[in-house]
Amino acid sequence: MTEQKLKIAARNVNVFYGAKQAINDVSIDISTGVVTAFIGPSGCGKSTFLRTLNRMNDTIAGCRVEGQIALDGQDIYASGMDVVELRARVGMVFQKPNPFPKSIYENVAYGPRIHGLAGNKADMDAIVEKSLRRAGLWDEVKDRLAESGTALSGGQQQRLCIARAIAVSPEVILMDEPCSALDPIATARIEELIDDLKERYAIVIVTHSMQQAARVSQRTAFFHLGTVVEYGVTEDIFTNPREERTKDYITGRYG
Amino acid sequence: MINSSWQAPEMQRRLARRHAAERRFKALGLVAIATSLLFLAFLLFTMLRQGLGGIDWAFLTGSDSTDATVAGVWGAAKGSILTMGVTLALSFPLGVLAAVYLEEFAPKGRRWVEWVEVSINNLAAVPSIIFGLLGLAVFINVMHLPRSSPLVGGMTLALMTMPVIVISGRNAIKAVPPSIRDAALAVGASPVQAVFHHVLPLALPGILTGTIIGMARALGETAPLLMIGMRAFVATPPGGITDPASVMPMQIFLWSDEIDQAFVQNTSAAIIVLLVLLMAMNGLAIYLRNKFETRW
Repeated sequence: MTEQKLKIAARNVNVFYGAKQAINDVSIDISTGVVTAFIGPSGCGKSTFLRTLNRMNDTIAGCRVEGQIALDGQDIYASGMDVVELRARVGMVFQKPNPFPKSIYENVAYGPRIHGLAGNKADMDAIVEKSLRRAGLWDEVKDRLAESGTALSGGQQQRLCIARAIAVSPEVILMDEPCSALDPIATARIEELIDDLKERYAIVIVTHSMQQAARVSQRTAFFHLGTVVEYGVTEDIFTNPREERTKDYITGRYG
Repeated sequence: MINSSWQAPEMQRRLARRHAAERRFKALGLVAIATSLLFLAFLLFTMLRQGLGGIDWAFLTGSDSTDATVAGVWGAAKGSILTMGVTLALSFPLGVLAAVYLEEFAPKGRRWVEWVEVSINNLAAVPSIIFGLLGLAVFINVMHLPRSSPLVGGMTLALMTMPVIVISGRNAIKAVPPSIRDAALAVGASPVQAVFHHVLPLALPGILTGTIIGMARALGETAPLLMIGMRAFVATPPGGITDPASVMPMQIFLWSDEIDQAFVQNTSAAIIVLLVLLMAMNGLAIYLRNKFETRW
């Protein structure tokens, strides 16, 4: 059993897009060594909430966040918080694989380079190799690191994006439906990878697939209409939900 | 029930009508293209017939003269090159930075931003003679820069070219997928790094195309330069951007005005040189676009 350590504590979070409230009073704990899944029907706010955790919602005009989100006890919406540092510590993998239209090597090396994590070429090579190995992609691409990242298959591209996120040594990895554009085999590979990665990182995954949530996560939060209906140990949510709405959703009555 | 058999005469007639409409449309399109090409071909043909004989080494290296046989195009060509250099050096950085700011950093939905956007779009549609008046009033009368010089000409044309670069630059930046920007921000790039490392390089082909089209327009421009005195008789090629100079289209205009029949050949020859230059610039635009185009 890996050590579980509280990483992110979100308390009474409200998110507004202009006048419209997208998230209503959400409180969730996210721990290292644990995969936390957010499930729920489309438009329930799970992706919105995920994006508040590394302030990617800053890029959306008119988006406003209330409440407190603490990373290691430090409020990430406080004025002293540096967004660049936050996003280096809380990495993100997106729904659609989005490698830079540059070489595979450059894709992984970009983050470490801007943060000055490698002193010389050998250090950088080591970071790139380590990241690609952890993302389970090294053996497939080690002989063609100079090729474009966009030439890879969809599943490989997504693992490249994971390697890119890992390369800056984040503490948390946010994944926004990382498998929705992938076939079942590529999905299985990403799921194995998530399982390996949880040893070192706190992982949060948004997914539309309840089977996926059940397979990869240890904690599950069920979102509905901007609120968290139920949050707890994944097994309990799926076998013995406390709330009627959770039960209806996981048995496929709506969604 | 409606007759649904394709063999029925009514259905066959209907099909024939549709095919005929198809043929009519294609014919109409061909006529439209042929009409415009015909005029271009006619222009090229007359120019080549009249002017080709006038193009020789002396013509390409000489400067304006009162004697048609010694008059050459180099003085005006050098004036054009210097003027374009000033225009590019001013309008490209200004235009690209303005486009980047408006597209990536300006707060969305603010009144002053919308006002700036509308102004730039209008600026691109302002008649060029107005820019000439502006150049005369500001650069010559207020700033006392040398009259008839490529410096003032280039600055005036830069005002005209900048909105074109801003508009094409914004479109090129808008066309970069937002996912690339997100990817950069998510590994901790600052907004400026995301733009300069990822968005701008991907938008560059579009920006360059717009820039060269704007420059080609400026190269053929005459009206604003009339206002700032670049229609003077200049018998020696300008040595720098502050010397009196003329430009190619102005030279063509001046020669076409001459009473001496010998200048007709010079006019046509200068038009050929200008057209070749313009085509070379358009060719460069296409080459750059293809070279830097990235697929994702």
